[in-house]
Amino acid sequence: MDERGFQRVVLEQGNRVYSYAAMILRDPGEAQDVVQEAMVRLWQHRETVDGDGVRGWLKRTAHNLCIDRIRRRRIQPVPVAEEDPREPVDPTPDPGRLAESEQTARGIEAALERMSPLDRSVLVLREVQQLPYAEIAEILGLPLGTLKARLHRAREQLRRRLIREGVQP
Amino acid sequence: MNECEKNRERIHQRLDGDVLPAAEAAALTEHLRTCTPCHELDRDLTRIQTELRGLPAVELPDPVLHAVWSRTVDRRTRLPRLPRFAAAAAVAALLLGGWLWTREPSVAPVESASTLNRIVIDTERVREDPAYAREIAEKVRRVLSTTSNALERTENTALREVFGDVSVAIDHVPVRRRSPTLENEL
Repeated sequence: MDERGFQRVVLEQGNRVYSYAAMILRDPGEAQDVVQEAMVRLWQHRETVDGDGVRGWLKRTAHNLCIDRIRRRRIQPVPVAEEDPREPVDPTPDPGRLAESEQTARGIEAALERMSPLDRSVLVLREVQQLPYAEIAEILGLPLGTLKARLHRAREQLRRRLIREGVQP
Repeated sequence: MNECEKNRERIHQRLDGDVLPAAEAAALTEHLRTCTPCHELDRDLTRIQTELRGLPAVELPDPVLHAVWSRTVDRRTRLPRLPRFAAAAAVAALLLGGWLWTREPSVAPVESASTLNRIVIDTERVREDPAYAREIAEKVRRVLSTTSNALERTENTALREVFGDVSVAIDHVPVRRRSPTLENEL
């Protein structure tokens, strides 16, 4: 990849990588650091990173940097209780707590924050960034079947959290 | 697998963008019509997906882009690549110069800024003429030795500002695929 190619990748992918890191880390400053570091590493590996694989390489690097930072914080994410999928769900949330779309969005972001980093990554990459499964599997290093099962579980977990917190999904 | 489990799978498949065979789609529609929990699951998951897709995008601030340029393409533009031995000589000289400066700060050589302008590097000749490469490396060494401490201080300050204290070790963090043990941790 030459200099012009690198600049194109930075401009094309910068916002997407930043959005991803910001949602995973929930800290704009840290997310900016991750973007910067990932881009510098891409530059350092520009002669070995395959042209078609640049996007995946960049996201995988950013993902690993995010996970490293989460570990370094030494703040364990709130343990994700293995919830019984058959757990009865209140079918009629309190109508007085029905939220507007903006509140729902805030509720979703807050609920995402309390999910495990991997579940959060799966949801953000698939539902927010709408990446193809194959690309997500490569970024996260998961087999396709595992990824899909994880996504399905994460969707339902997010729903249960929203309902439990009184946010109308 | 009971009917609800079967149809829950179909709900997710539909959210994944899969097109269900006609018979399965009809079975799902019928099930959702009669099963309240599955109907609500389908409704909620669809809404959540819509909300997630509509979350506001964030834009990378310009200073971050500028920092990326200065750490990548700009740096390359400022210092042309030297052959390995010349680069190694320059690094060795830099280390030696820094050490001498640390020991004898009052007698450290001081080059004027105009020295920078006097170094004209013929990059083609550097590759082909070892003596010339050594001469260039020596000139670069003189400039670097006078500025290395200042540069180091500046870089460390910048790194601390950008990354905080922990960031100093960033270059040592290997990029790797997530290991199976990490999956367990997560």
